Amino acid sequence: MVMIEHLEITAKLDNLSTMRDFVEQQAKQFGANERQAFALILSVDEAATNVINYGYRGNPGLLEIDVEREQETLIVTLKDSAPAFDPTTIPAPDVSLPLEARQPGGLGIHFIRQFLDKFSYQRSADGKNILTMKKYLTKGEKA
Amino acid sequence: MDITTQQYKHCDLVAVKGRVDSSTAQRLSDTLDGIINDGRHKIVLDLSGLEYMSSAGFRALISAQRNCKRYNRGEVILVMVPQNILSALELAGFTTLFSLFDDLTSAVGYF
Repeated sequence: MVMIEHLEITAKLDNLSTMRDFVEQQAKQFGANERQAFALILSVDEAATNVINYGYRGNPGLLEIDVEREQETLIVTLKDSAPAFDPTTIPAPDVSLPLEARQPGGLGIHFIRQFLDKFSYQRSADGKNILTMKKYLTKGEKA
Repeated sequence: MDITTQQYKHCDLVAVKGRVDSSTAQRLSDTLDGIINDGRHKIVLDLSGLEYMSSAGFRALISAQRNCKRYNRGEVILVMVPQNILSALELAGFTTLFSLFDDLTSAVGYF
């Protein structure tokens, strides 16, 4: 049985909830518990927000989302056609700083790194950014 | 996302329900800024009805906390934070920046 589902939506912030609902529904159908589904939803939301705000920058574009189960791993893939950008290179924020010294950026990527088991980027030959986000369903579970 | 606000004698109670993401966080910021700009800096945030919050919501919280704590004039405190959101709060290092309460009575009584 092939366990993969696909969603294509216009890249705008108003569509984030549609995307999250899709990922939640598919992840649970593929065996994720509440915590695992939450990790994937939050991660894809943060990644897509970055693409919309800093990739497409208000220009029209598409987001393609795949949710897939491969053995004991749930994989969410986010594709966009915005200019090349590798979010895995964003430095981690210092979350131990006092209130006055906190920087506003980087928290979304921090959540992705902490909540997921794997987070990787590639630029495809046909000019797409591809983010692959993995959550193990059994061992090595985080958060 | 639904926000309801109530003004008490010693603090403001703000209840946030539903989902806070980058498309709705600005409304939360506007509500908190409105209270702060009216000169009130003691804010109880009831998060018991919160289903979801992304980093955009966390940024709104930290900005309000920074404003309220300036000159020791007040504070934002969080009440009844759902478990999923709490795990994100911990990862963000926010549990050292906000006082957390389990019930409204003790939260309102804090001020």
